[in-house]
Amino acid sequence: MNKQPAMQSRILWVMTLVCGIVFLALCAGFYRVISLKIDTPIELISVATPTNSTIPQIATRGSLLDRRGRILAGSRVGYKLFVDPSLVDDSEELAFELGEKLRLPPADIERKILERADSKYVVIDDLLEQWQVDLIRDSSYKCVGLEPRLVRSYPHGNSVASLVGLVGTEHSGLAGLEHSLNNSLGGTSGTLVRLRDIRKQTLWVDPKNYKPKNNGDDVHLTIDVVIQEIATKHLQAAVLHCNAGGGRVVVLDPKTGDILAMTDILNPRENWTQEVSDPLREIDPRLGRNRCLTDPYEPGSTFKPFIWAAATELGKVSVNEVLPTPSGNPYLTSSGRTIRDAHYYGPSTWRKVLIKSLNSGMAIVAERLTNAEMQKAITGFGFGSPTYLGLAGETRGLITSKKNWTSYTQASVAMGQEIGVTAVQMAQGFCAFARDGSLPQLRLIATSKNAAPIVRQAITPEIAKTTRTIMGEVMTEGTGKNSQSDLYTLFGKSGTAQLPKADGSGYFEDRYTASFIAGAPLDNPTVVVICVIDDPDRKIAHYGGEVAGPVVRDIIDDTLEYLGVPPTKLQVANEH
Amino acid sequence: MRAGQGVVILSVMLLMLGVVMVNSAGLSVSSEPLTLKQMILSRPALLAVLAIGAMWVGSRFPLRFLQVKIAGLPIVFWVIPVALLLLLAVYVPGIGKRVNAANRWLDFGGFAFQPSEVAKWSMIAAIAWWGSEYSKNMASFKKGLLPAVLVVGFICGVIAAEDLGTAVLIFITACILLFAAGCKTIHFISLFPFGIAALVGAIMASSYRIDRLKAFIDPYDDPGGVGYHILQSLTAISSGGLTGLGLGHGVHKFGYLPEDTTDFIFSIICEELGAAGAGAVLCLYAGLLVLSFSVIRNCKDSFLRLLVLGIATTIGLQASINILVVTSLAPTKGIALPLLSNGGTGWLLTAFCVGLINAVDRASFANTTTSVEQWQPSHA
Repeated sequence: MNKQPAMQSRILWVMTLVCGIVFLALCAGFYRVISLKIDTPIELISVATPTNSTIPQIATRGSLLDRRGRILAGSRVGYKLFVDPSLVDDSEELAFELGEKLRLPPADIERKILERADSKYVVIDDLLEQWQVDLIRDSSYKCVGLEPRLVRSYPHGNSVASLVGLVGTEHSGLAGLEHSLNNSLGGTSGTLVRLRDIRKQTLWVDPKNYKPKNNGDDVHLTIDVVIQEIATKHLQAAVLHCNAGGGRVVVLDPKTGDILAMTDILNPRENWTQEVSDPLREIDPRLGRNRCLTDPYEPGSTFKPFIWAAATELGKVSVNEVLPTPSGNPYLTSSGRTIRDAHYYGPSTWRKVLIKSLNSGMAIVAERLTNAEMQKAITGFGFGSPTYLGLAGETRGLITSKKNWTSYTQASVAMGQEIGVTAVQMAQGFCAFARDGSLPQLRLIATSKNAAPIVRQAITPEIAKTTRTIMGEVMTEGTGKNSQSDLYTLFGKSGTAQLPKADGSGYFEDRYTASFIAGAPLDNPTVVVICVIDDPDRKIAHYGGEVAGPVVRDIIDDTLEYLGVPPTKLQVANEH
Repeated sequence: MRAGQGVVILSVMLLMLGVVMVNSAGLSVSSEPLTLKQMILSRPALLAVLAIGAMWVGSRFPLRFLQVKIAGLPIVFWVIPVALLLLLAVYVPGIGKRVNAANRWLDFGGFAFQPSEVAKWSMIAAIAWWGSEYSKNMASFKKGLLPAVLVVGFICGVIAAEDLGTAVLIFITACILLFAAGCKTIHFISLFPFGIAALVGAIMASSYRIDRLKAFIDPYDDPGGVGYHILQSLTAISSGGLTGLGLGHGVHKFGYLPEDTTDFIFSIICEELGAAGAGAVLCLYAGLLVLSFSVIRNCKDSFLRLLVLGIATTIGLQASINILVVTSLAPTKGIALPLLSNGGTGWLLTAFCVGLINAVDRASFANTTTSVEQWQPSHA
């Protein structure tokens, strides 16, 4: 029985030992937990399986829309295909399978993988088609992934290319409106951090880890794609017909100042010297400059209405005043300069000077104006200032400085020579005749449906109306006869200017810039169109009335018909 | 309050924490919202209720019954051959169930349990009986230690074929009991080389045990392979900082950490409940041991003392080994956290044995206050 107490105490002693060992183990475990929590080993962090993933929230770039909401440039999310070579077991097999599935050359796929076998990201295809994306999504490749990217598409192609421009690989504007409107169109991408389980299914998203994307704003342009295509079609046909170096057309609504179409074509010809060139356009048509506002040209006789109206308003001459225009020989100015006319009509009225485009008549009246009056008249119509359309590279044109302005300049400018203007400046100035003598601020972006603000009152409403009426007669009796429309009553003016030599040594004798500017309908002008044909082949045709006039007429006819403006001539006929 | 009642209260607290954490670790993503009924009638909750019932039964268990003799030997002896039969039954097609490439389960028409669990607790009772019954012989190597070690060794050998961790645990507990019963230290030391040889042999015989050892020595050597499990456990423990991510907010339970509701539930507790949760769990086990010590001190019967020592040692060692494993202080073993890790028979049997500790304490208390000795076995 004395064994019992000894055993009893031994059991207690063993229990104490067990307690001690267990406490020691529990304390060691607790110490380990605390040390792991306070100071997690770097190697543990580096091998830890990530429990969350960041999903980029790609912001789409705003669309460029025409005045009726048609998409000129739009963005969508596309996918590129990439492979993680570190997870590829057999690149040849993978290349073969992917190639077969996606109809891509397997050899290319394998070469791409092997070229960068030690990386974790190799792009196999920059942009997959939707069926390819669906196939990849349905497959279970661990080493193959889809990465979203933005894709910009331009559904209307080259007809709006130089106007719309394009974006670069990072989806930021490189040229055209894409460049100048980059701030409005460009969005800000966001991120979403999601917690996921081992099978990569989303568990939850912490609101703190969500940065929403900000899509770019859509921009409505004043351009109408249909009118743009009308303008491009007719211009293209004319340029090709007369083998010209190029051509420009601007169509605008004089009431609002909205540019409805603006197109610029180049037609490179072999064996021609001093061709209009645009190296960037050869790389990509969307990179090219928009010559309607970057390249000045000599307007020739299309400039006469501006001087005609200004001189009339200043009271230097009255509409029906008969001027001593010559009957057979060229006119000699007071400074002894010889001024030639295409035809000699003898003494003619100031009205006839414009209708028949008499250089002599313009020179006579120009001599009655002081240099300052002439300069003020020119700048009053907006020449010498940019139109601030918001496109990069716009020129203010070329006007002889006051210091170098001579009597020679005075006569030249009155005939549209020795001055450089852009097509948009001409269109804007011409609006004064189509309106009440005021110049509207031109716009490409449809900020509101209201009319654009007025830049300035160039001439009085009466003079504007008179000039317009007489330009209506230009179409029936003058240089615009060939461009007369069967549907609408037009008012306009043709111009044929000699092409200046690039080295500044004067003009080509046989090369021209043919242009025509007109508005319609005469009583309620709704559209103004200017067409400039660069360097038409003289062997085919070269006068503005012949080459550019029909283009303007056709564009006006088609545009007004499209806009639903009833034909004024038929109306007259029907009324009778 | 008696120490035995304290043991029961701490065990119930562990069970309750177990229900909450097993449910949290078992969360999965579903499109169907969880209904209140589903939450209340979850499997762990029902099992916990059964376990508390088992604990109550254990507390009320007539301890005399353990030593009722059948054919000259007490019931606690006869459980050994029964346990052995059950252990061998896992290889019988139809009732043996293969889980995770090991034959550890028996399945009787939907009622599945691990016979090693039964063997674990049976061995404690049998060794306690042996130690108390033949206490005079314990100093003898041949008469006291050897027969017991041979039986324990054989049973553990059978278990080790499928579950080395439990075999080692049973063997160590049995040795501690035999030592407490009066075996000589020198006899134990002489057995050490055999034990170590058996352990090394068991490890070498299986490639996955070698992998586990490798993973323990350098888990970073193959972080995606053999080191994955333990590295996920360490990552789970380290995440959430000292305060934890909050109950239910852990991430590693969503497939990252395998065995998250069973052997590795402590990692999820550390992740969600932080240092406070981990400390609380450890304190509960420590408290359970301290109170068991108090029960042993108050008990005057050698068999019951050894029985309580065996139960407390099993729970204490199991908890220690599990926590050392999940914190990578010991190589991975398939040993669950008692009363916490999700388990069916494990919970029920452990709870019943905890109840027995209370029963012993009740008996001691009744004995000292009323001097009623009717419960005491005849040899005392």
